[in-house]
Amino acid sequence: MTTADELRKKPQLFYDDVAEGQEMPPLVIGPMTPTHLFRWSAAIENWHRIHYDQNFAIYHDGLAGILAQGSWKQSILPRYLKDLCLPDGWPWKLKFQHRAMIVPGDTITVWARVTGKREVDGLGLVDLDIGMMLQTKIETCPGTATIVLPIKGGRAVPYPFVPPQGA
Amino acid sequence: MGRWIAIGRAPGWDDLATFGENLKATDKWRIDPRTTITEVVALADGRFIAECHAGAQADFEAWLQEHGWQVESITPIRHIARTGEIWKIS
Repeated sequence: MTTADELRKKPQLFYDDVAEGQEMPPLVIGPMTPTHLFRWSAAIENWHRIHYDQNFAIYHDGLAGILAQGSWKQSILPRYLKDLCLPDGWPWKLKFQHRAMIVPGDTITVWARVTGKREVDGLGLVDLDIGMMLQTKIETCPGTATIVLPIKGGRAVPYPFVPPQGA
Repeated sequence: MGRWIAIGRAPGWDDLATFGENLKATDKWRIDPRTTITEVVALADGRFIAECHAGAQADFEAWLQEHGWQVESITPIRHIARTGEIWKIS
């Protein structure tokens, strides 16, 4: 697992370094365990029984097991984009769908592929397809994103981020 | 969606390592998004009980056949008591 210190020292990914069709480095999480799910439920105080009570999940709701929370998935994709952009880029836009359930035992691969890039107002905008793939190759969270990367020799990505005009 | 119990014999599954090889990995018991083998019990007399949640009994039968089960019976579940909690199934 990448440490916070390693992330702080991470080499910057520049706009110049990415090309359309390029696969970004994946983030693999898992196998998921009930402990992962319970920890998230506790952290955000989500006490729905489908997230920690296996009998309820299986026999009441007819699920395959306790389920990873949608809000957990919503935290992982921005984290992945943030890690791609560190230290000086910005994960600007993200949208995705919840398409499949994640249960303990599943291993998740977060991935992204460059679908386009453009310079706007001196900033490097990179469009991505993004997702969260199960070990069974079922895509649980297909979506799209736009990240902003610095251009070599160009201006700094503003922080706090200010969207470029016309983007 | 329905839920069934199968009783039968599963050659080799008396051995705990073989039992685990056939059932531990997620894709071994979560057959597809609609079909889950929720429990398998090995009885001391050599028989096995398997519980399945699926869209149709045929989905369960396919799994049993794939794993070489000699099936004695497959029956829908009506209700369940599990550690003091009562679940109506069908």
